[in-house]
Amino acid sequence: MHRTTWAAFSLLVAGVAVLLTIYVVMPNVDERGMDQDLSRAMAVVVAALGTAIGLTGVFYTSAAKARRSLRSLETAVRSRQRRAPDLGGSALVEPLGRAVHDLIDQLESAGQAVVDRQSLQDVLDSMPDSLVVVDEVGVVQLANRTFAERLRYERPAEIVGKTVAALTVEAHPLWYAALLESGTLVAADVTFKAHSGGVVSMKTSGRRLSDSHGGPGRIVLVGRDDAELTTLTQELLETTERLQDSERFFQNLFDAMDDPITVIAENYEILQANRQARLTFGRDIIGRRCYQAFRMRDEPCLECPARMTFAQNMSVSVEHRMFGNAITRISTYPLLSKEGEFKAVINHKRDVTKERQLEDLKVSFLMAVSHDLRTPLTSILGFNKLNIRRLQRHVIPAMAAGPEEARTALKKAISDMEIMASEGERLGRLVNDVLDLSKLEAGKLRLNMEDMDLAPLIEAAIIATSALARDKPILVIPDLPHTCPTAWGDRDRLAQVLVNLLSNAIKFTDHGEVRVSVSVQPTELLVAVFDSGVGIAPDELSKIFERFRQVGEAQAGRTAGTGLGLPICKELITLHHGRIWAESKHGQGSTFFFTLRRTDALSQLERSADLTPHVTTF
Amino acid sequence: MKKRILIVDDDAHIRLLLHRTLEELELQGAEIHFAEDGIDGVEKARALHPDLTILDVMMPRMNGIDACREIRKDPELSSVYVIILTARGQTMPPMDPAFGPHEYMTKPFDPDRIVSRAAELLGFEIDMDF
Repeated sequence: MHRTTWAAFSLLVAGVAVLLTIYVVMPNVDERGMDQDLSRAMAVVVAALGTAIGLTGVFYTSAAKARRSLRSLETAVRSRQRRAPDLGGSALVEPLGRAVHDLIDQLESAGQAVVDRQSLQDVLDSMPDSLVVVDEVGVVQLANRTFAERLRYERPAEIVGKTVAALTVEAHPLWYAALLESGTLVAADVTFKAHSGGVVSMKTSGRRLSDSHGGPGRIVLVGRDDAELTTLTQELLETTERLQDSERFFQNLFDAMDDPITVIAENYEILQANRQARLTFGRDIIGRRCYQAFRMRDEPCLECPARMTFAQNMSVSVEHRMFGNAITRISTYPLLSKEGEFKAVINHKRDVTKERQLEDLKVSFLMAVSHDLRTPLTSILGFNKLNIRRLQRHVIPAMAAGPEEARTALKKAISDMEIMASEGERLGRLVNDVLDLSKLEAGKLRLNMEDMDLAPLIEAAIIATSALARDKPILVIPDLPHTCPTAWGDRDRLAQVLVNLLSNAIKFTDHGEVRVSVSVQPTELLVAVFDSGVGIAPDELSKIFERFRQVGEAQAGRTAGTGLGLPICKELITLHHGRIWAESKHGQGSTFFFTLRRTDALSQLERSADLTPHVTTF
Repeated sequence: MKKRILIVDDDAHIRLLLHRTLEELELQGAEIHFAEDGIDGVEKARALHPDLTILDVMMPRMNGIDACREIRKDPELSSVYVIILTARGQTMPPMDPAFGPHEYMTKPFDPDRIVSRAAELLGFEIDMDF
C-alpha cells in the first residue's frame, strides 16, 4: 500500500520537473545575458528537482528495507515467543538483534515517516522476554515493555537515556565489559536494579552488532526472567547488607574497647587491630609482624602467648613487666572457624599495673597486719596455756583438800581458759586463712606441681582429722581403687583441701560415716568426701563456696570455723585446673567433689607450662 | 659449763612468755639471756656463746634473718643452734643453708613444743606429763 503511494508520488514529482524544464528552462537557452533572477530561480528548481528525485529513491528503498526488517523482526519475535527452553545464546539473539538494529538505523536515517516508531515498539512489546538496546557508549536507546515491567517502570520510555551502569547492581558490571570485549554474551546471570528498589535477575544474552561501516555498533540484550535467581540474588543482597551492618556493628564495638586488641595470624602477621591498638602501636600496624609492632624486635619473642595458643588451641594469659614498672597482661584466645578450624589468635592487652600494685599493697598490708595480730596472739595463747599448766600442776593438787567452792571455781576457771585457748587458736586460723585467700586471689600463691599419689595424702588427712571424730560414733573410711593413676598437683595444698573437707564432714556428722573415695575418669580423678551428717539446704548449697558463709551457723555445739575454708579450697582446686562442687539433701548428708588432672593425660607442654612461673592458663 | 639460751625478740611480752616457758630449764641450771633487736642479739651471742638462740624475724635495727647470718658466719659461734620464729605466710628470703637457721617455728607457737625441743637440744630431761 505505502509502496504504491510512494511510487505514484515520485512519478508525479518527476513529471512536474520535466514540464518545468520544457516550459521554463528550454526557451531561454539561446538568450545570452538572461535575467539573473531567472537563472537563480532555475537553479533552485533544478536543485529542488534533484533533491526530490533523490529523496524519493531513498524513501522508496528505505521503506522497502524497513518493511523487510520489521517483518524479520516479527518473525524473530514469534520464534522467541515459542519460548526456546533457554535463550540459545547468540543464535537467537542474532536475527532479532540484527532486525532491531537495522530498524533503528532506518528510523534514524529516514525519519519517523518511514516506519512508525510506535509499530516497532508494539512489536517489541509483544515479546515475552525483556529486550533492551544500548548504544555504543552504553546508553539505552530502546527497551520493551517486558523489560520496563520487570524493572517496575511505568513506561519503556523511562528507561531510555539511562546508562547500563545505572540499571545494574554493580557499578562496573563484568558481563558488560566481557560483552564489549568479545561481542557476545551467552545466558549470563545479570542482576538489574528495579525502579522501586530491590533487584531482578535475568538470564541475559547479548550481541554487539556492527554498524554500516563495519565498526562497533549497538548492543542488543535479551533477558529472560529468572525468578529463582532473583529471589536468591535478593536474599544474597539482603544477607550481604545484614553482614555489612553486623560487620560495622562489630567494628564499632571492637573500636570502642579501651584496650588494644589485635588479631594475629600464625605467621605473626597482624590481620586486624582496633582503634586503641592503632593509637598505641601506630596506624600502620595492620600487616606488620606482632613482634615488630609490639616489641620492636626482629624475631618472635621467646615467651610468645600467641604461639602457645596456636600450639595448644587454648587461651593463654601472660604478664610482662614492660618499661619501668608497668605490667601488661596479654591474653590470647583461639579464633576458630565454624568448622572448628584454627584461623587466628585474638590478642588482648591490658595494663594491669594499678591492679597489681593494689594487690601487692593489699597482700603486704595483710601480711603486716597479720604479723601484728600474731604477736599479741602469741602472748595471749602462750600465757593462757602456761596458766592452765600452772593451775593444773601446782594449784589443783594443793587445793585437793580445800573448800568445795574454791575447787569448783578453780575448775570453772580452767574450763574457761580452755575456751580462751580454742578461741585464740581460731583467731590464729582466721588470720592464716585471710592471708591465704588474699594471696590466692592476688595470684601470689604459686603451686609446686608434681606427679603424686593420692592414697597416702588421703590417709594422712584422715589421721590429721581423727581427733575431731574421737568423741563421736563416726567411722572415717578411705575408699580407694586398687590401682589409681597419679594426679598432677601440689601435695601440701591438696592436703590442706582434704583436711578442710574432712573436718567439715566430721564436724557436721554426729553418727554414721565419713568416706573419702577416688574414682578414675578418662583424664581426671574424681575425689569425693561423703558424710551421713546434717546435709545442706538447697538455698545454702550455692553459697557455701562464698567467703564468710557458714552453713548451720546457728547450730549450737559445733566448733566454729573461719568461714574461709571452702573458698580457699575452691581457689586451690581452680588453681589446679580442677572443679569443686557439693551435692546434698538436707538431713541426709552431703558429698563434696573435686577433680584433679591425671598426670598421664597431660602433655609435656602442659606440664612444663605449670612449672613456668607467671603463665596461667584459663 | 652452764647451758645458755639467748632469746632475741623486740616484744617484751614474747620475751617474758619465752622466759616463763623455759623456766623449767632454768630450774635445771640453764641460763636465759635476752636481747631486744638483731644487733643486740649478735653482740650478746658473741659475748655469751649460747647453746641455743631463738630469733624473732621482724625486729628494729637488724632483723632475725640478718642476725642469724651474722651468727652463723662467725666461726667462733659454730656450736650455736639457731631457731627462727616466723609467722605463717611470712616470706622467707632464700638462704644459703650454711648461714640459715637450723630450724623454723611458727607463731603462735606451742610453749610445750618449745620447751621440749629446747630440752632435747640442750640435753635436759623434763617431765611433760602432768
